[in-house]
Amino acid sequence: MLLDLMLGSLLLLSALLSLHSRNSLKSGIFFVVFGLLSGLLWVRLEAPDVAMVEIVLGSAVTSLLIFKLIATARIKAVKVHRIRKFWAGVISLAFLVYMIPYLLTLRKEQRIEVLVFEKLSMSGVESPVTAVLLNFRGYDTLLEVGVITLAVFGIIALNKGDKVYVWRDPLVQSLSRWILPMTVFFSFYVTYLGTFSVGGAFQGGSLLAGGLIFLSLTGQDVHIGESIKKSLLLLSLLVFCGVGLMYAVTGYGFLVYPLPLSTISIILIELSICLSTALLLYTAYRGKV
Amino acid sequence: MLIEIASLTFTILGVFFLLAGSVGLIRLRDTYSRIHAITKADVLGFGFLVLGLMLSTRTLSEVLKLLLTWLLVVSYSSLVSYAIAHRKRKRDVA
Repeated sequence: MLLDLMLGSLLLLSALLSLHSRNSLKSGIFFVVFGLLSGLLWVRLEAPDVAMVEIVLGSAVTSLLIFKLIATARIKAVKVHRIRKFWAGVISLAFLVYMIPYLLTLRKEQRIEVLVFEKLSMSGVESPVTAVLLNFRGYDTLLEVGVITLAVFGIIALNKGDKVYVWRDPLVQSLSRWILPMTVFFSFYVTYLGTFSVGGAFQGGSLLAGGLIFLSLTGQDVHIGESIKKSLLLLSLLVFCGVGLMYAVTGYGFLVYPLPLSTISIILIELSICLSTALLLYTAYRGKV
Repeated sequence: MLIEIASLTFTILGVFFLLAGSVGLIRLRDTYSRIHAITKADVLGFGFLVLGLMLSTRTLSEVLKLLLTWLLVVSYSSLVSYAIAHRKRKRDVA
């Protein structure tokens, strides 16, 4: 309890500092701290999947993107108008007040987890989170994948060929090369874990993206052809839509997996999402394919 | 019982070193001594912490995972201190 309170207040503090520091670099650093703390808080709330996403994606990869933005755009600290701040605060407070009685009166049988665990055996995977993401709520995940893909293509289209910060230090270069195989191994391991335990494709993909971005920060690149990279960017969307359409044509319905084939379909989709997410985030960081 | 005591001792030792390193990071005057304090205390403190945690695990795979974490953290923390020192020296010379 004490630990949770401390983490919560530190989280609020880091959010405040991130919003209120004049230096945009400082804001970015406090944003990283905020991400890490909220990851820890998610662990305390027994949501390790979300914690993983928050730390790998929200704290590591996103902050790299923010730092790149700060370095290239040379923006001063963003000044938000006071009235706008006021209204944002009022709306957040109203939402909080609205949510508190709802959270306090929530009964166990109303919780979604009961429903999920009831139907878990029909999903083809043992992890409730993956079952929701890729089976019960497959549509949402498909659209998420679509949104990321579209956003990255937007980034590629808007790229003006800005100079990216690289540090060609031999020590760092060799370390990034040494670390990459381990990162690849762990990202696939995390993706595979998603079928029965904590883990998943987005976490694994972001991990891989982190390794690739580290490589590119030292002025190196993975040697795969441009056309292969482009097709890898689209892979998850293609596989997801393809699997969904296949079952739609055979009469089960879009993204409704027949029980004996559901595990293999989900693993296939997860693998493709892992690869694509990694390449998409890497491309988003580099700004070009 | 003996293992539990050893585990607790190592953990407390690790926390002590990490705390000392953090105090050094805040209290020391210039960048080099700060890096010195934080890196040394980090490696030592985190090492003891991992050792303490290793003694409290049940399976071999957990021990190996902790060992891997230790290796990664040590290599990254030395890399980060190297990067900071490099940058600082470059700035001092120029």
